[in-house]
Amino acid sequence: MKYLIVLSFLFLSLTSCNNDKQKNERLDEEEQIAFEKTADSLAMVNREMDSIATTIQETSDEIDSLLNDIDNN
Amino acid sequence: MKLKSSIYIFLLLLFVMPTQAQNNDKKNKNKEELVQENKNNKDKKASDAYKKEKDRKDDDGPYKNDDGNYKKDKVKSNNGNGNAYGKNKNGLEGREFGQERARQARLQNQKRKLKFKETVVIFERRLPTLRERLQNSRILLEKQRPSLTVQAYEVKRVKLVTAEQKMTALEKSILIAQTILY
Repeated sequence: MKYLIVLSFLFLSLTSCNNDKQKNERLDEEEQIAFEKTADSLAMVNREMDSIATTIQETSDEIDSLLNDIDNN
Repeated sequence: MKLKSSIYIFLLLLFVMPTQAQNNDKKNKNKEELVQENKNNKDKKASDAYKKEKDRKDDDGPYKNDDGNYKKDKVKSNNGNGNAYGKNKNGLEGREFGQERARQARLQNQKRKLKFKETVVIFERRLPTLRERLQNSRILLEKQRPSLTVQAYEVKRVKLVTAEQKMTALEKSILIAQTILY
C-alpha cells in the first residue's frame, strides 16, 4: 500500500515536471517568434530607408541631368 | 474498510487526474499549434520577402555599387539559410537564435539610420541649389526662346516641366525621410 502511494506521488511529480518543461519550451518559442518579428520589423524599416535614399539620389541625378540638357545647347 | 476504499479512490484519482490534465494540455497545444501554423503561413510571406530583400542587399547597405550604379543585382549574403519563425538555426537554440537575430537587426538598423541621415542631410542642403538652378534654367530658356526653333524650345520646355515634377517628387521624398528620422 505504502509503495503504491509513493509511486503515485512519484508519478504525479514526474507529470508536473513534464508539464513545466513543455510550458517553458512553448514560452521560449513564443519569445523567439517575438524576437524574430522585431528583427523583421527593423529589417522592413531598413528597407524603407534604403529605398527612400535611393529614390532621393536617383531623382536628384535625373534633375541634374535634365537641367544640364536644358542649359547646354 | 472505509479507509481502504477511500485510499483506493484517492489513488485512482491521482492516476487519472494528471493524465486528464495532460490530455487537455495536449489538446490545447494542438489548437495552439494549428493557430501558430496558420500564423506562420502568413508570416512566411513576410519572412520570404525579408529573405529576398536581405539577399538583394549586402550588409553595408546603401546605395551605390563600386561602379557607381544603384544596387540592383542580387548578392546572396546568408548562403540560403532560412529565417522561418520558431526554428533552430546555425547551432543556436530557438530563443537564442531569435535574440541574436533581433540584436543584429538593431545594430544593422542603427548603422543604416546613420547612413540614411547623412544622405538626407546632403540632399536637404542640395535642395535650395537645385531649386535655384531650376529657376535660372526657366529664365534662361525664356531668354533663349527667340533664338531657338519651335521644336528645340518645345523639347527644352518638356524637359523643364519634367525637372519641375521631379523636383516636387524629390521634396516629397525628403519630407518622408525627415518624418522617419525626426
